[in-house]
Amino acid sequence: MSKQDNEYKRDKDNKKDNSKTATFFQDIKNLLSNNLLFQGEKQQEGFILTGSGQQEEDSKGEERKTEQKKEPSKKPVRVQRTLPKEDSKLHQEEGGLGSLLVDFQLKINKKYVEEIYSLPKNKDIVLREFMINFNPPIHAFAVFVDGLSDNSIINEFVLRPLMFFHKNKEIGIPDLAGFIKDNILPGNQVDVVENYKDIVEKINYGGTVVFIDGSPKALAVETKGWDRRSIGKPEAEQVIRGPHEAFNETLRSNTALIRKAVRNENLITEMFKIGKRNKTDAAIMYLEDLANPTLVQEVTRRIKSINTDYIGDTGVLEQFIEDHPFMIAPQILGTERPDRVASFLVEGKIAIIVDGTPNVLIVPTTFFSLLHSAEDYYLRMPYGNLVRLLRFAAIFISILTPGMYIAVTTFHQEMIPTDLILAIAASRQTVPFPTILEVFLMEFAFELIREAGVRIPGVIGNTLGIVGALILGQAAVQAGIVSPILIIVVAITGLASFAIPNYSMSFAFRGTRFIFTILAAIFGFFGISAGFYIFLSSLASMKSFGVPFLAPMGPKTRSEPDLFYRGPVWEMEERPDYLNTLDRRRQPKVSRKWTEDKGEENNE
Amino acid sequence: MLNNKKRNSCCLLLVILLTVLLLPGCWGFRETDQLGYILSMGIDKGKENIVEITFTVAIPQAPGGGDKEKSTVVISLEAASIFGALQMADSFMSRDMTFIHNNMIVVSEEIAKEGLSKYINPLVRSREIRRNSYVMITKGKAKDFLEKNVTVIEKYPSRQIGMLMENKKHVGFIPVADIDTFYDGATSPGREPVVTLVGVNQGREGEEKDKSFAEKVRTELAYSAGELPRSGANKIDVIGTAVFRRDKLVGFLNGSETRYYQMINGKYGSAIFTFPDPETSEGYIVVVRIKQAAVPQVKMDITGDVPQIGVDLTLEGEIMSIQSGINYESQEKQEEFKQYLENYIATEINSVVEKAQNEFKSDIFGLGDYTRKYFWTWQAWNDYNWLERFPQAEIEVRPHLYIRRTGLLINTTPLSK
Repeated sequence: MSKQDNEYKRDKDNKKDNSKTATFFQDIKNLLSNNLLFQGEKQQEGFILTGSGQQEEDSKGEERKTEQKKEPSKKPVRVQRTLPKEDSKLHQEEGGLGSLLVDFQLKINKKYVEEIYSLPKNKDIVLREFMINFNPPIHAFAVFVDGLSDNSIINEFVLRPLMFFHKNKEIGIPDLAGFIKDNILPGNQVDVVENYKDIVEKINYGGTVVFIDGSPKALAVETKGWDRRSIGKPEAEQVIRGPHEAFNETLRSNTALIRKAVRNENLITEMFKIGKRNKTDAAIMYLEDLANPTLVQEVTRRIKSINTDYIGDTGVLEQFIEDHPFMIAPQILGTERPDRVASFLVEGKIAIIVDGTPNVLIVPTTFFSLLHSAEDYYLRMPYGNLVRLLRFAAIFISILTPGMYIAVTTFHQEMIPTDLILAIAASRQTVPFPTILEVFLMEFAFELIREAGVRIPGVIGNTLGIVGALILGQAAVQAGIVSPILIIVVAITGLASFAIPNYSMSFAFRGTRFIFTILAAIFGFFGISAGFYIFLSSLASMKSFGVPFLAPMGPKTRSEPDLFYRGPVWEMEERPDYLNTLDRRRQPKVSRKWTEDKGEENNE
Repeated sequence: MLNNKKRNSCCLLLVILLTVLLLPGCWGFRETDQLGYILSMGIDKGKENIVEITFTVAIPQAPGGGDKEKSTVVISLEAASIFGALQMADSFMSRDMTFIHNNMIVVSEEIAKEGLSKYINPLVRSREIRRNSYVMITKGKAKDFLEKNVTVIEKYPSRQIGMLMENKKHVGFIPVADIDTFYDGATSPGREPVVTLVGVNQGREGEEKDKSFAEKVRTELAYSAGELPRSGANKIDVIGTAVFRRDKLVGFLNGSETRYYQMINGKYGSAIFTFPDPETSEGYIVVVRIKQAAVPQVKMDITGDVPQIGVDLTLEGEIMSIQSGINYESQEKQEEFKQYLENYIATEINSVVEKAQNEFKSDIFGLGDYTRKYFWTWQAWNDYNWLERFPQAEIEVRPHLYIRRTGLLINTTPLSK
């Protein structure tokens, strides 16, 4: 405070001094800005991340680093090998490594590596020095990240051949790295690299890089092998009939799973690096002879344009590339089932995979594909339709039931049978709260159970059901806090919301439910119908990668029997019209040839 | 610039939405337990004021709770109008009284004779009153009827009456009349309204009457509400028709007559008829279930002064009982038997028509509606003044009965000797 006062005094003094030259308004402005507006430096208490003391330390550290950087170039009196200027400009913005090349001298390379990885401090980077068994032996060292790379591979296929290579080769081979790659290292993926940017990338992703004394090139050996989750069952999209494989957290095994499902040479996997600091690997997959090229271009453009620090999950990427971030419904479908992705790929859609996440994004996505489940197609047509019918009913139930209940019991009592209204009235007689509060209380409790159920540790998870069912269901009614009929309403709404196959969509419906409840409490059915109109218009106004969200219903275009109703599989002859795929037809008019062949057989 | 524009349009949209939503919003937020549900209503002549209104108010009971408690309370008040009485009830009933679940309006005979439209027709305007509330006439006081109506199986009288009227429509002796049909009938130039007749059963024993066997069979259902010789169960009867000319009560049709009357206007469903056995002289009856198989065909000639009208009824019969064991279902006898039933029915129907023409002078059959097609304009039809011409009209009703089924037997095996 005292410091502030001092400053205030100083301001006043300043004012006096300036009064001769500056105008009166200027003074007022200064006064206001000094005293009223926020000023960072004046804060004295609490923890501040960018405190002055730390800043000094940082700058010292920087100095130290720059000194260190200069060191290698100073001592051996050599100029740093860098890329030509034009290239280096491109790389400069991505960090200092961009232009740095591997040096002839092993010592200098070692310095570089130590500096890049802050080596004695950074404990999970391993720098192993050894001799290559030439005549005379050549100094070399290998760098890898412990844990990311497979130790046995490094031992067997990198160090062993290099160290126990018995043929006495003379030195003087012009391309030493190339020779070693071609003759000594038996790994299936060995690259000759000379750019530090590539080297760091390889090391960071489980590779082992071998530096050789006297060679301006290093060898990057593929030694990826970290502990990964094996391919398991889908957690959120379970089916009874159909494959039980799900994606895991490794990009490559995910792409392999998809490629296993779509065995086609036209399946393209394009790779990207997203994020500045982290450089997450991402891939898009599509069938080149199907997917609309402009769509591919647009997806690539959006992904490439992202400039951010870290993308940890497709969920984050989804938010970066979706069209309407503030709309209630998701516009990109995330799935953990390779078979589902495959079915979308052969429709002409594009899959986006991000390393480290078991969810794959599908673009473009329409409302209806968010409501379909993989099992719809695996079941026979009548059963699939039954399930679908049930699910579409569940949508309306999950959005509208609490609202309807409120509207009917508080505005439109004449709409329900006399006996029912009397039963509701009787059950509410002991309840001291208005219906709306009652509904919110129970809905809140239900959401609470749901959220707690996700967060609760597995061991005590079982108790949650008991607590939820007993305390909230039974006791709340007996205590006269809520009426028993309301429990039914909340329970059926909750059940219905679990029947929505897509997790994001289910969230959207859960959210809208509260809006409809409020609307119903204020305006009755009028509010519900007005709200529904706005809800539908908002859905109709959305687009997902250029495709109207409600396609092919709004705008109405030609479509296969696969929206609300699922036709027999042989009737789905064309790909979705809205995708404008390169090949429209999925199967010929008669895909069940045997139905025709039978007649011929009889003739014979 | 664009941002600013966007923000402005967003604000505009919000304002429009708010006004649109706030202006027409139904501000009638009422909790279910805030309302007193009137289930039925009675109208009587008042002593101190113009009318005495009786309300049956539901006492909501939780399902599965103790069922011995009273489920309704009956209150009566004298007031100038129905809505006045409703207002008055607020002075001693804790809940907001509402008509939204009222499904029965019982009017006393006394009021009906003076004219019913005064009371019923204005109700059409009301937002709360259901236009499909049943209208009923009771001999005696409406208040008595509502007080005596203690439900036996059902919990609430609304369900009891609803089931009685809806489920038993087909038996033929309960004409269904609600505010809507009464309003229509009373204002239409083509027909006259009727109303269900209800009454409090006196609980009388069957008494000795000097009737022939045939007469006894014929008058099996010839009772008006309240006169049935029965005991037990609920105290109320719903049988017979109250006939109106315009809005004034002019007479009653008993249960038996009501069935024949409903055959002509096509609302008859299927019912069980008892006939004296055609071949044995005494002591035996035949029972036939008769069903209306098609819409009555009405042919008319209104060119002359006296309208000539022929009504063809298509009926289907199923033999239910032949006490005498005579083989009426056989090929030879069937035609004869059918003829007998047709004649029997024709006589009864024509006597009902005669009653309507001569005694009531009221076209309860709605035959006037069929004349409409002979006129180009409503005015011309209106000027034709059908309702005045109805009593003079020559009406012939021709029932055509087809015996379709004979039950589970194709002939009766006689007793072994």
